[in-house]
Amino acid sequence: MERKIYADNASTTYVSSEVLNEMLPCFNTIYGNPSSLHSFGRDSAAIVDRARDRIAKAINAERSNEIYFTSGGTEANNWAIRGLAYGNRSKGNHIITSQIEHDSVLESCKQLEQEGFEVTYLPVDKNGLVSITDLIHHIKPSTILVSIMAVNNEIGTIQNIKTISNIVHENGVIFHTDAVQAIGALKMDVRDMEIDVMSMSSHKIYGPKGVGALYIKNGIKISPIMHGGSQERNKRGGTQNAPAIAGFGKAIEIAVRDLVVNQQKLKAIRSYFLDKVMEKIPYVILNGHPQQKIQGTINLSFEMVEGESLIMLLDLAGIAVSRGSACSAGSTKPSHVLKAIGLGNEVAQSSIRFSFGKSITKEEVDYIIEKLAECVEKLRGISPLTKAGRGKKE
Amino acid sequence: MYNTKVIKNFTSPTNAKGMKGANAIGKFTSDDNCDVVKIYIKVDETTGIISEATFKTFGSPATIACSNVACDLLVDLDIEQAKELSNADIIKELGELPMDKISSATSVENAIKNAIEIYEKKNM
Repeated sequence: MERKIYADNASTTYVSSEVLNEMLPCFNTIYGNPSSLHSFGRDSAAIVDRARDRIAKAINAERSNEIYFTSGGTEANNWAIRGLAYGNRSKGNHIITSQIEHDSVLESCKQLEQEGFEVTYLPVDKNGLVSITDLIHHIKPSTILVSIMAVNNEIGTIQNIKTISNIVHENGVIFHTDAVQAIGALKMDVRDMEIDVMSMSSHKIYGPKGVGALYIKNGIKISPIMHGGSQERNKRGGTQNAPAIAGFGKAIEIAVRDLVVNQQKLKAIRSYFLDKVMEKIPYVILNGHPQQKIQGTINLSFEMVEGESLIMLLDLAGIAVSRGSACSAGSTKPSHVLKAIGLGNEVAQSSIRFSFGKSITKEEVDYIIEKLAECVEKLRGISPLTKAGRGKKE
Repeated sequence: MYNTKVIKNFTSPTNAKGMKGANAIGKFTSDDNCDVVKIYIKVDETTGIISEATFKTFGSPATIACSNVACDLLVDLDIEQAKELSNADIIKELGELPMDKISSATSVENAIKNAIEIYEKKNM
């Protein structure tokens, strides 16, 4: 039988059986519209409320009504950036974000620029960290929002969120973080970390696709961007996706419950994988912060080898990995994140992301390493950037 | 994403190697997609016909497949005919390419044109 190994968990994960069991009754037993007044609706509303409670507890929100369901992380980011900008326009028109944010943040910011907002895109250092000094330097009286992601989706670097939020609040500015890659990998405590608004997604943590949430601290002004319904306290119109919401609630509860054990396992896998790769394959660069990173995401540049070709050869060997972001995987341009950390075009184009999940085994990692070494050797053999296929630069 | 012919030319390229005694080596580096394509050609001195063509490519599966079929297409062409070889000819040989991979064929076409330019300069 053909072997298949999944190492693309930063793109999406499977739905765990515990989560699936939580969801199933919502399809054909408790299926009412959560907004309906009758008992069918009230039963569904109770499911949605339970999930809201679970998410609030998982991130230590003060109240469950600070959790607003969306269709996913992209909508949550769109809403956060545009909703906070529109809702606070009377105070100013300046937004600060970083150059390595997810496209859903960057494109929302670009849209706002078209509408008269001013956006500063902070650079990052070679490890992917935003400079705190740089941030302080750019905050000005017209600044209304700072949005910095908690964990980068391509390189796994963890930002100094608590320090950033402290500085932002000292200046009376709202702080949003995209925590889509952080949930399940880090303890995200919105009160301890002083986060005002936080984006989350379900399908990165063994929950279903098509559902996410925005944490909005009570008192923060935000405009709706989805109109036409009174759902989510009049802030996000549209019938709630109760089965998916139920799954998300369960998934985040499990993610917090199993956080330590999963991260310990992934730490060991990461270390084993990197040691073996560095031992067997020359000219490999580890991208991202060497220490301040999540365990599951490993971004490597295999010099002189084009990333898409390597991904395709690995795929033909039954191994699923990706470029940085699945959302832009079809792009022929080098990743904006890898460019921002200073990689040249060729090295950026030589990069692929391994993102291991909780089910990965050492035996599977051994298979990946074996096939990876073969594929890299094959592509270096036909690369004009190599010398006789021996992995040496011309 | 890719048809079987593209996959076959990507996974088992018959022309993927350097060439000793090449009459010209053309190179193209794309600013658009970071392709680096090198085309090696050997030309029969008496007939002026390309007798052998090989490549080395840093690029996507599409660029590697385009490089391989382009080398097949170049063999038995004279220099004037080789000059006319276009990205459309390369794509036609492969059957089809996704829209965002047309630049792969263009990179290969440009590397061929560079090889011919070098050959003609040498033989002027």
